Amino acid sequence: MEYGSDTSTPGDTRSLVESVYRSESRRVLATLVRLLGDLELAEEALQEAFRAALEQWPAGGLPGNPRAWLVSTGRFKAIDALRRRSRIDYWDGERLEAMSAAPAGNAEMERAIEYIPDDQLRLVFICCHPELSQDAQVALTLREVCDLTTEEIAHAFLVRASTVAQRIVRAKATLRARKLAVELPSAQELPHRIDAVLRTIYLVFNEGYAASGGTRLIRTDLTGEAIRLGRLVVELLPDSETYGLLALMLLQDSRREARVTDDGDVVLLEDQDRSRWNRNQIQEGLELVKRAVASGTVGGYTVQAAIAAEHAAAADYTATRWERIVALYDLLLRIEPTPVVELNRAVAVGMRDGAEEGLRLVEEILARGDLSDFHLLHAARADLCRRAGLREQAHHSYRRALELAGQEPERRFLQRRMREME
Amino acid sequence: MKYLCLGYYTVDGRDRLTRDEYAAIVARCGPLDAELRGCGKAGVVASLVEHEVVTLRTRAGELSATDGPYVESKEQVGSFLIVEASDLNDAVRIASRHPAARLGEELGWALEVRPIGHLEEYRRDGGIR
Repeated sequence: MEYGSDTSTPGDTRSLVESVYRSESRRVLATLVRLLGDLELAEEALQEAFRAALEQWPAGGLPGNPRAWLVSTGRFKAIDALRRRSRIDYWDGERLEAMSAAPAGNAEMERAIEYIPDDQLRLVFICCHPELSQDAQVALTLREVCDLTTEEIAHAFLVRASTVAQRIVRAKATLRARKLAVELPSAQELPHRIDAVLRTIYLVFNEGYAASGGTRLIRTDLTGEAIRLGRLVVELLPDSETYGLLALMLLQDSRREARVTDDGDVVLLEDQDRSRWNRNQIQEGLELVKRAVASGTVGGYTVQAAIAAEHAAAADYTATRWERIVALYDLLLRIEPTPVVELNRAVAVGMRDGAEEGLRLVEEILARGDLSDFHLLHAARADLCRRAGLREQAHHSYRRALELAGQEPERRFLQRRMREME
Repeated sequence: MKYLCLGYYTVDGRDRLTRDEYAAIVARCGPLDAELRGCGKAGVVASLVEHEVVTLRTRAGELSATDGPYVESKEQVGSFLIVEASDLNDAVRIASRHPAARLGEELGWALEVRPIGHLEEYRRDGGIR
């Protein structure tokens, strides 16, 4: 085959183009999305632009502004492809029409092909469009914004690549059919749209931080991508909750090294070697919490970050200020009145006021049936029973948690605890 | 990564076609094929002849050749291509220009996109539930 081993391209130019691809491809794609008004067309234009670079840069040399060259070339190639296809009846001529509305004059074009930060923000908003399913938002964001392959995303979420591919194809079809793509959200829509973006990032982080299945507790590939996305959003959209989310992720991730043994077993917060916590991440997280609190209405991510900050600031487990953590959960419960927040609050109350009090609150949640299939509820109940000396009840709850838990390290931990209760 | 795309058609659909209809559909394949070949990502783009198929296998330790395809089916592979793509969705994007994907809706045409030779990579580590 002629690709892959193209002898007309000297190795150094090829590696140069590859390095430009790594550093610029997402921004070039983002600008092309603005200019072409269509995600798929922009992806194709991006590929064509880099193909042209491989052909032309060896002889002509690297252009002064590679990014602008790529955008301009990609746009030209896309228009060319649309013209060609408009003569084939299967293709819709609509897109070509939309394209002719693009800037015509040279000076105007030069301005249009310049990357602006809004381009990447637009791309993030497109990928996290509320009309798309949550699964599709996650897959599209990781692929288009983070440049992960379909196969990498599938591997990270323990699903088949063909499942992810189908999600992405359908999501793009939805975006195109409903013309949801290109406009940045209006001021009125913005809070709702930001929520969707932050939720998607946090979902990616959580899957990495506490994988729902598989052999590993932590998937650093996903936490790393989520933190990267969090930084990007903070840069593009500095706002209390974007600071809050980044702070939360950094503070949670700071404990990564201490959360598992070398054999991949779970280490509880109370048993963690705090000298292994990442001090730089904690420092940055604490700064961000301050900034989040100072810069607007405090939201759910900021409060969760403040809770994580309490843990991060405690010199050891016994120094944890549980009364402050309970107060923060009270606040969080007002912002997000969900059973999961209630459960976390109950555990904190169990630390402040004793296991019996925590157990009473957990039983209340359990009695309502809200979380009866949530393994962490049963694990929390088991732990409270254990501390209250109710061995038989503890054993029962560990067993129930074990039935519901999907991830190996967590299952091993529950099995160990269950045996201790026998 | 490389992907093998198999273009399917149904024998029923093909038999229903008049000569003129067949000529019309073949004419529409031309520009699509040309675009596919021109994109620089498709290594092999080929059509397959339906008849004159020989199937080889070992029988009682001896190589045997039989007349006819391995799978006797109403659905036939009529074409294939190999694409070089950055991932499965990139392969889907490239392959979506193939006639079997774009044309022949009433004839049961379809295009299957399959990864080549790196299955073990994502089977590893519990990649497939």
